[in-house]
Amino acid sequence: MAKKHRPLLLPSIFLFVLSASFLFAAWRINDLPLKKLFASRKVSASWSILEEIRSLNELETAAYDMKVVFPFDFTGGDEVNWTYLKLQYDRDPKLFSSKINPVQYPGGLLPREWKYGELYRLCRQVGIDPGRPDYQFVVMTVSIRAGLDIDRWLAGFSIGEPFEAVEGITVIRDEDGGKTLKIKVAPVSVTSFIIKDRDGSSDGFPDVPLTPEGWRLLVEGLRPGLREMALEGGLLETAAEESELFLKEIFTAAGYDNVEFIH
Amino acid sequence: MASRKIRITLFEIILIVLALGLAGGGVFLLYGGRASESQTGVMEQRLRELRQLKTVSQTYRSVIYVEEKNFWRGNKQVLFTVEYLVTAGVDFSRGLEIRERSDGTVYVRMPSAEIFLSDADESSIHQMYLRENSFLNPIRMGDYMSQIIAQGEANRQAALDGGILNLAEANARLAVLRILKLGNFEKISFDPGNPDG
Repeated sequence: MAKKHRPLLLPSIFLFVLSASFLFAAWRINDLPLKKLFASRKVSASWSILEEIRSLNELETAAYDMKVVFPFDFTGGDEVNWTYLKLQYDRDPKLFSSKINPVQYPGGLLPREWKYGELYRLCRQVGIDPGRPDYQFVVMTVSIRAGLDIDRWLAGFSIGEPFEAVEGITVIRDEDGGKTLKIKVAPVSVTSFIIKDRDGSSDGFPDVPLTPEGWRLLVEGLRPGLREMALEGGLLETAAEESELFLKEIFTAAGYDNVEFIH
Repeated sequence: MASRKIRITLFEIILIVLALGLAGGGVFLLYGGRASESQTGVMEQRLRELRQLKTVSQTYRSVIYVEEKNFWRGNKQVLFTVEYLVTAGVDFSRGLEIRERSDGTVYVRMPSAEIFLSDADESSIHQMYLRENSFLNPIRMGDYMSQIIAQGEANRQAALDGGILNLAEANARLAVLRILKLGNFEKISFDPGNPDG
């Protein structure tokens, strides 16, 4: 009787033993000292020195808070061909080093992708490559605040007598005996630009490879655009309204019947 | 030449399936426990009233060093300095009371001073030293951000210990005094305590 041929038996047993050993090893690694071989040892230290104390009088009356995802929130909703940009950048990064020159292209027509050339350059500078398939991104919480620099505003005044104009502030007596205060408020401006510190390892988003220098370049690169977004969102208008409302409340509470603002 | 027939028995199939299951279990033990990654990319924006009067700003310069040693993936080290801004003042949205009494004196009661912010100024980062295995073990945000946050808290405490709140409150009173003097109020008095109770 011919012997049955079983070519898969031995490999199956070998595979089973190998997998069982792997499972055992994984279990030991997770529970016992072997884990130390795979674990990282971290050391961190820091110290500070107080460099400057400054007195200021900034009345912050409005804040524009946003959570942005770099680079995807900066493409205006367009589908960007990152792969094309990656190919061009890998071929010649110098092409990205200055404003795109239409003369380089026949007929002065720029490929549509170059619209985001500058954004892609920033990505690569900070060490993030959206042209790779693993979709790296950075989530930032930004707060831009605006208001009134009271010191600058007060510097424009001198304390004067009632019933006469004093560099923008006027107190007049109404016909019915009430007091009206007319105030010229200084223009509001952006007072703070804050990127909230977030622990990239514990907030659920992927932890991106980004050096401290890359983080600085990223914030510096995005600052003008973020400021623009806040201004377009009406930050200064809200700050001006709130500043006037605040001053009106103060002087109304202090006994003025009417508070008016001169623009 | 006659071709050989390979017969797979039920026992072999069970053995292979079991082996694959065990291997899968091992992979799960090694990687399965890790937190799932969120893909949320929601943009959130809002305008909100603040009415915070910032009256003191302190700048701290911090030196931060982070090192990670890993036998398999290689070591990484980074040393950098960053400036922190600690600002304090009075939040008028918590209540400000101004009353003019019959004798012409204006009484003002303000909320207590508080620290508004202790945050790193990213534009001031100066990276002095970096060593990493950029392929296997690059420096990641998570490596140093927890230290940046911890140092921010330390700077906040240092500012409190240094009496930043007293200075902030004194400056806030001065600012309110100057504003009210514009309205020709001569007798101005500050009540202790804050309107919140």
